[in-house]
Amino acid sequence: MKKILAVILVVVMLSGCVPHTELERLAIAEAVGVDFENGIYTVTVQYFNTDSSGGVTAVDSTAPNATVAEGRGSTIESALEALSYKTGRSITIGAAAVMVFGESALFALEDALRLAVSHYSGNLRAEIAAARGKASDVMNVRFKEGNASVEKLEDMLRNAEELGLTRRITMYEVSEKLCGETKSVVLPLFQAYGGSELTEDGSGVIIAGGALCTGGKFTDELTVREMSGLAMLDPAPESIRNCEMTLSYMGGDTRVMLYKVKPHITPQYDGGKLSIDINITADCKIVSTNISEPYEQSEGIEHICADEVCSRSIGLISRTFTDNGADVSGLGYAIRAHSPELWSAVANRYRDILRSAEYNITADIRMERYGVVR
Amino acid sequence: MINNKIGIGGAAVLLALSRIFTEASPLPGESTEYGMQRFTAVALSFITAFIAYLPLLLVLERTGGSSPLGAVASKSKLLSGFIGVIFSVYLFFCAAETGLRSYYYASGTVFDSAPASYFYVFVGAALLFAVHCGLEAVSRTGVIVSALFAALMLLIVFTLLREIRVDRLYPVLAEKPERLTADTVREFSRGSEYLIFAALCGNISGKRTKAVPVYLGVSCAAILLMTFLYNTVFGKLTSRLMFPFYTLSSISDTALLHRINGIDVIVWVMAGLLRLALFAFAFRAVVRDCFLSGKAADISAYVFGIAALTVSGLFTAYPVLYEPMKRICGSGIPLAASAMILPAAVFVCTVNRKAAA
Repeated sequence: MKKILAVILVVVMLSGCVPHTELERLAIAEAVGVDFENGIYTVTVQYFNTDSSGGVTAVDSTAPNATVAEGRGSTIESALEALSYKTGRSITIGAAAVMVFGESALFALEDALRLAVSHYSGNLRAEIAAARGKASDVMNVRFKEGNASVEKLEDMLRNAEELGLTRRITMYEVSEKLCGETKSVVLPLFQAYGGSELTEDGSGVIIAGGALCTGGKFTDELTVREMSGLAMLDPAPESIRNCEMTLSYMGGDTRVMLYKVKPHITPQYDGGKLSIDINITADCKIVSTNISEPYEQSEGIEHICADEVCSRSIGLISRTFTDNGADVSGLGYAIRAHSPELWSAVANRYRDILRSAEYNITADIRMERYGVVR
Repeated sequence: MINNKIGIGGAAVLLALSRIFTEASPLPGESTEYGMQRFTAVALSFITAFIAYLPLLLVLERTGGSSPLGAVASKSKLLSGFIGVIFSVYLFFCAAETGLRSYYYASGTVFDSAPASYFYVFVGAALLFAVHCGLEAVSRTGVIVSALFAALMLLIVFTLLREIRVDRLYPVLAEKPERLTADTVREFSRGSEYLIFAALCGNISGKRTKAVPVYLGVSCAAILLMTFLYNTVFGKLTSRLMFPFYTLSSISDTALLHRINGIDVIVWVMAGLLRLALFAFAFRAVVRDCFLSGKAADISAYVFGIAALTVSGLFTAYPVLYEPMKRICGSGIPLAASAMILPAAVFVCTVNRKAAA
């Protein structure tokens, strides 16, 4: 007992001798924005404001619990150092929930994430997104709801994925995709705009589609519909509700929700040309409809839903695989799993092979449950 | 009273934890490559390890309950002295390397800004305490740490179940056959637990030879499962991760604990400490069997621990000192030589004794 007491006393009494940082001296980043202009990086950090405890409510605007600050430098690290100097706090990015890259900074995506992943200082589950224009515009939007603006950004991404408007992607998934042969990834794309009633200063944010980065640079913008195709070809592992879509059927709108979305890929290589059969299977249920007796029409809805899934997937394939030779859905893994010999034959000139490949998309959608019609 | 006797279960658990520790705490240049070849190399290395253990297991039947080194020493001091020197040098390098692995792991994960001296002072103090407490106490701690590791593994598998993508596996046993032998040897050379078992088997009560297949089976299964998770969760990213198992625990998100990388750090810092203590005990056994007895042998374990940590501190500061030793030990030759010399010596000595009788 005396020994235990001695150990406890030593720990308690000597802990002050160890260098440490008090919580209020830390800037715990909740969201990070990265921009690049004229050879200079601008890092915008939304961090937890420890001085906001005097606020009347959690969203009391007189004592905001999130503060936004910018730092500039020739590298992302030096920009963070400048930010630390400016705020007088040590910047901690390990808890950042969202990282947004401005269009001009997307070329640095791989390096920035390698820094975060290899040094274990980043949150590997952080959502990664792009911004049309500047990331700082997105960071500076101050929503009226939510404990901090970053929560709103996270919620927007989650909600947009459920509605079939985007496909969220986390830091470790982006890093994995950038290790592929074509180094290609699609990030959800934010767009800042004016005139919003949801924010304090009227500036708002919407999800405007996707940003295709391939070969270390920002290459193309994808529409919301093409992003929905990505959610079908490469469904997010976390999604329970994969996506919703609106179908025009029998003169009215029927909204369905797809779940258990799974692509089945069968590649063939014949005469130097790659042919890929993709069959997407999914279950669906009706979310809302104005058709009378919708359950009588389940077969028709399944059919039109399958057509819509094919159409969205073809849109994505055409824009990414065919136009840019960019494997954004992990197709290479499927080819290798199906036939390692085939993979050996195409791996060296994979980008060209993807451009010239023939893609045959089919979909089998089954209405296992009818759902609640609203 | 300090007890240095352990059971078969305790021995198997300690050896398995020690082997899995080397998988979870790679040194720079030991990154895990994505691909199916790793499965083949790991399986082959464990088969090779089992074959390497066989002569020792066979001669253990001849030595009764005593240690094989003790059996050699009772017949030929010269031969036991020769083997003792080889074992001592190899054990010392393995202990220093374990200190280095622990330091790289700790400084590469959560203690990135902590000075190296703090690490070595705290680990050194804990090591001295572990040596003071004895093998049985270390074995009991090993069981607790192993249970924590099993819980961690379960949590990781459970939380990442949705993210396991089996389409990242492909039906090829060796995609680079020219590198398969080198990969297998590298995996085999990590199994320096052979020395621990050979030196400490006199401290294992019961049918001690049973501990080896259990330890090899458990550690092989665990490393294969870890490799499966790296490949299916991270895909090609695996090759870029310094500590892939730590990264797995970082992305595992449980409802109550959220990130469970804290458990990972506890498990591997403790496992590194236990491995160091095992090498110290093995060194003490070698000294006792081959060179000195009584208090001097006991003190040698403390001196060994401090010296090994000091040298690992030097390795940290001057990696150029570590490289030649790494090349020699990574070739698998010292381990294979130890696996041949000791059983051969025991065999010769016991055959001669029987003939004389």
